[in-house]
Amino acid sequence: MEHGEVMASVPDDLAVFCRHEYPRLVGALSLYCGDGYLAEELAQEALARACARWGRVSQMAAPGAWVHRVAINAAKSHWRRGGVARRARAQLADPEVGIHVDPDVASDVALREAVARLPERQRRALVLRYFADLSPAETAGVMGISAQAVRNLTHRAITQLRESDLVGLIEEGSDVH
Amino acid sequence: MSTDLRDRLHQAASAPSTPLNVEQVYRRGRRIRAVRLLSGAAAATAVVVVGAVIVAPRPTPPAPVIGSVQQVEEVFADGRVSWREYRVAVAATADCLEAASVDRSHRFDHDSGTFEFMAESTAPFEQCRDRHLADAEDAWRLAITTDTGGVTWTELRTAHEGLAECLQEAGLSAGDEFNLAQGYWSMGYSIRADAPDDQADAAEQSFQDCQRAHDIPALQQAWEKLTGPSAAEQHQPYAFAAQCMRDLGHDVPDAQPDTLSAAIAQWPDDYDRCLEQGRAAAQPYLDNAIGAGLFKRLAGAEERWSNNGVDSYSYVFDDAARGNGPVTVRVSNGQRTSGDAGFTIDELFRHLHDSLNRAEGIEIAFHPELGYPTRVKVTPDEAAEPIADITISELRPATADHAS
Repeated sequence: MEHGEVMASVPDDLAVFCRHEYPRLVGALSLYCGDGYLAEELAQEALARACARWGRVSQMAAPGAWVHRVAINAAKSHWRRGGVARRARAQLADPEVGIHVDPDVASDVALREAVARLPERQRRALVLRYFADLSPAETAGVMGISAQAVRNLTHRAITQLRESDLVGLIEEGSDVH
Repeated sequence: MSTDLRDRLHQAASAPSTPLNVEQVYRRGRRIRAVRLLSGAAAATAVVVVGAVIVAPRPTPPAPVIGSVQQVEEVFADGRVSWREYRVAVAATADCLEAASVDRSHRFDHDSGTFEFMAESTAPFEQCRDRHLADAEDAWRLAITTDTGGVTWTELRTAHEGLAECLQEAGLSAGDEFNLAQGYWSMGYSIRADAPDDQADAAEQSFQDCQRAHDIPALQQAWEKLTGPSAAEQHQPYAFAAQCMRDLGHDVPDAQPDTLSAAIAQWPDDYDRCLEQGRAAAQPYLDNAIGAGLFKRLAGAEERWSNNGVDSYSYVFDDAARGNGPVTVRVSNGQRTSGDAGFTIDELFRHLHDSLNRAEGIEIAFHPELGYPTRVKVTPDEAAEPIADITISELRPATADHAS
């Protein structure tokens, strides 16, 4: 490996963790923020924080859930600072300024826009539960609410997606009431 | 099936444009760690300095400089949110809901360790939450759910339930109450008043045994450490009190936080009075969640300004949002005599009330002693630029010559 010597200082389990979580974080954050470039920045920031306290994070029951929580919190902080929201809104207003390198099919753009229009908590629950594939309990832990509240939020989110132009595209899972 | 939704989301989500450079992220993490260690040391120093500035005796002559106070009002200024700060933020959210004619009721959820509002999922709640609660709540949840070697809410709750079962098995009539002031349960037991001494001793022994069996004292101590005021916040009243003692002529040494209380206690006659003043002055720092309790803080600050009786003064006005200033505003007998861009302090208070009634996003810092606003930032929409970003500094009461 080109950087073999330096890489040797990165613990193996940490490197595996980072490589595994990075694409999941980028995907989840891109749906949550509506901005793929920002998603990459925030995902790296969250992983850097995991690196900063890997001794403790590695001992947690669900380090993946922890780093998703850190990433979502980082996204919210960025969002509140204003500039990010303007970028994301500009993107939504002009889907041509897309975040995918590959051409998007129209339904993907429509789904991203519909997800972006969801209330923040519904969006967060949906992304964590159905994109990041966290269990209801893990999602509840990340959001600091009960598993039932997670189900309520995802149910409302899916209902809203159905009411958008995506009617018929999405069917609800059996674990969502 | 939910698989369809998952597939659709995965299809719609972005993939990384380039593979992750793990080495780079690792180096970034190491820098974060280094900065955190450094800022922890700096924060302890900063509190002492700020405390000294705020209550420093006013120099005479020339006219005293009261402004130019740097306030620390960031909820994360000390890197954590205490139970008290969280509760203040919850109270501010309830006030906000009430102002919007929405049910303000809320309850503490023992499962999650957080407050839940009846109005949750309504649009006004989302607005009030974002404005008053979101940052504090996120920090609180992160603190109580993250295993950092201390205690988590789940551990505390589980231990408490174990204690209750243990007491029941020991035949004790136990009672518990969640202490909202402290953020954890108080557990006790009762026995008949005329019970013989040996029964009373046995009950007490069982109670102590159950507490030890479930590690209650250690867990409560860890919980208080996690959710109580930070070391800097605990120190703040004493830093103010020490300056008060110095103003009274006592030679208070520059003591470390843990010995400052003992140092000022050398003068018991003035100790209580100065500590009371110190606690009052430290109040804004202890309730320092952004925007929290804004209505109460505004009312309190206005009262302090009014009681002060300063109606002729000058100050430097600067509105960064509109590019007005810095300009010196002079006020004589409550009327502005110069400074086209500025306001009198009373006018500014009226504008603040109007903004609050319009439920605009406002961040305000007040002078802790005189109550006038030192910083006002008004943002109608959280995602928009502020429409006002006002700094008021160098407020000087006018001399008799200036006032006339």
